[in-house]
Amino acid sequence: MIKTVGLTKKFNDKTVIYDLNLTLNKGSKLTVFAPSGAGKTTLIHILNGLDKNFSGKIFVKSKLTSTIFQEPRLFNYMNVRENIFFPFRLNKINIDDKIISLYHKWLNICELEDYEKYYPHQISGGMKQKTALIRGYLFNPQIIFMDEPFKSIDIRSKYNIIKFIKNYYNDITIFFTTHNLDEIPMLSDKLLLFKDKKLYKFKEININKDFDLQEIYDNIIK
Amino acid sequence: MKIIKNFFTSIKYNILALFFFILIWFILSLFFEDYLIPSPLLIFKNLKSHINSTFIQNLRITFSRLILGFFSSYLLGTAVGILTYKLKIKTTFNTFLILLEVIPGVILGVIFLLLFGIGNLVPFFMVFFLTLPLIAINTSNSLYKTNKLMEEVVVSFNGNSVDILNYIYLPGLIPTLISNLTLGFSLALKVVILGEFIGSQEGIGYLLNVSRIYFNMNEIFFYLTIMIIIMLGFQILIDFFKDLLLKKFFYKE
Repeated sequence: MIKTVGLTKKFNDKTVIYDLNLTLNKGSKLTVFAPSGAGKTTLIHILNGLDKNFSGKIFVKSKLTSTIFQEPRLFNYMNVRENIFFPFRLNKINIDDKIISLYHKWLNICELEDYEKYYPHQISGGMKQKTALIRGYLFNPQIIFMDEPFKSIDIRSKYNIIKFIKNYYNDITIFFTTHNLDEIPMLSDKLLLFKDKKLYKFKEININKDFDLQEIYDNIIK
Repeated sequence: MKIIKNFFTSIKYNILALFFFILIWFILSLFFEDYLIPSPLLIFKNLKSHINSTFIQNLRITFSRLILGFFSSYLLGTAVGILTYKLKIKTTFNTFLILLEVIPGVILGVIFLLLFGIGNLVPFFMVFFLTLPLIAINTSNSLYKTNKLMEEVVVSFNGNSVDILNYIYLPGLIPTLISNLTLGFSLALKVVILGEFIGSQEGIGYLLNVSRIYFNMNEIFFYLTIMIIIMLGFQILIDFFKDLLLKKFFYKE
């Protein structure tokens, strides 16, 4: 579960997040939609514990969390396989047959089967981002923060990956930020919209079958 | 298999470098008299007379001074570099280290000679003080270049500061530690010879000084060749070690 109470973040005199009250239950999938520079990354950094300089309260109830950053942020001296298994190594998690099987499924979905032994400098930007995605998911965290994770991934792979995540990681809480309208209904059941380039006016929308991107664009964003 | 292939490639390039040096030396020897620049052929012909028990004994002394002085400065220089980074005093401290770097070795040698007298300490301290700044500056510069964003990755996967050290700083330092080994060793080799030249009655530097007094260019060129062979041998060893264990830490962005 994620909960924020009166969360406020300032950079010098500039308020980026103001009095944010948010509750996200276990298994929820929330997309934060805002234009670039609105503070989406800042919010993720606060929630995943990287930024402790804020006022208000946050509660993140989970032993295992994971973050997929905008950039792949892979270890250059580790190959694709070693990068993916890094969280296991760090948290001393046993790698069983089930994990290995899931790992191979991930490689297949991301078309990385032939690149396991490649180092980051030997693969493309999209492949790096896919590696980072697998690294974030494979060790089965309870909460996952995704900061515009599909930026450099082609549309076909993006659809396949999202379908895979929906099938295999349904009970994970996902906190997902994007500034692409088309990504909103793919991975979320809730949506947080921020207006006026700041995070202090927000509206929560339940995404259902009638979710209409055009309507959101015309009535809220435009 | 690839490691063995790379090892032989490294040997090949180092032998080529040695051959190139000898070729230039040979060409120069054609234009000068033997008492100025003796031909390499002459040196090799008299190799047996040069390699005697006195030479071996002095080589051993030079080598032990070199190893002791260099590795002391290597360890302390690395520690100073890390500390400079940790205490965030890089700019101030590096300026001081650069000042140390520009002190001519001869001046330092004379000061140490007056302080410690003739013996082991002059070459040792010269190696120590003249290579330490280079190693410390390279180490702290390398730490400053470490990708801070990767620290967030470790923290976001529940890692702590020890994990940051293990997974980011130490691997990031490895290429610098290796380049410090080769750069520092070649500098240390020159300095230990200079130290023995100025303030010792043993070692290759001392033998060079004696040869200089007697204007024995054959011996001078022989010692010079030996120094180059030691350096190339060390280079081959480092390349092999790098290839065997640390190749993954050397990558192009």
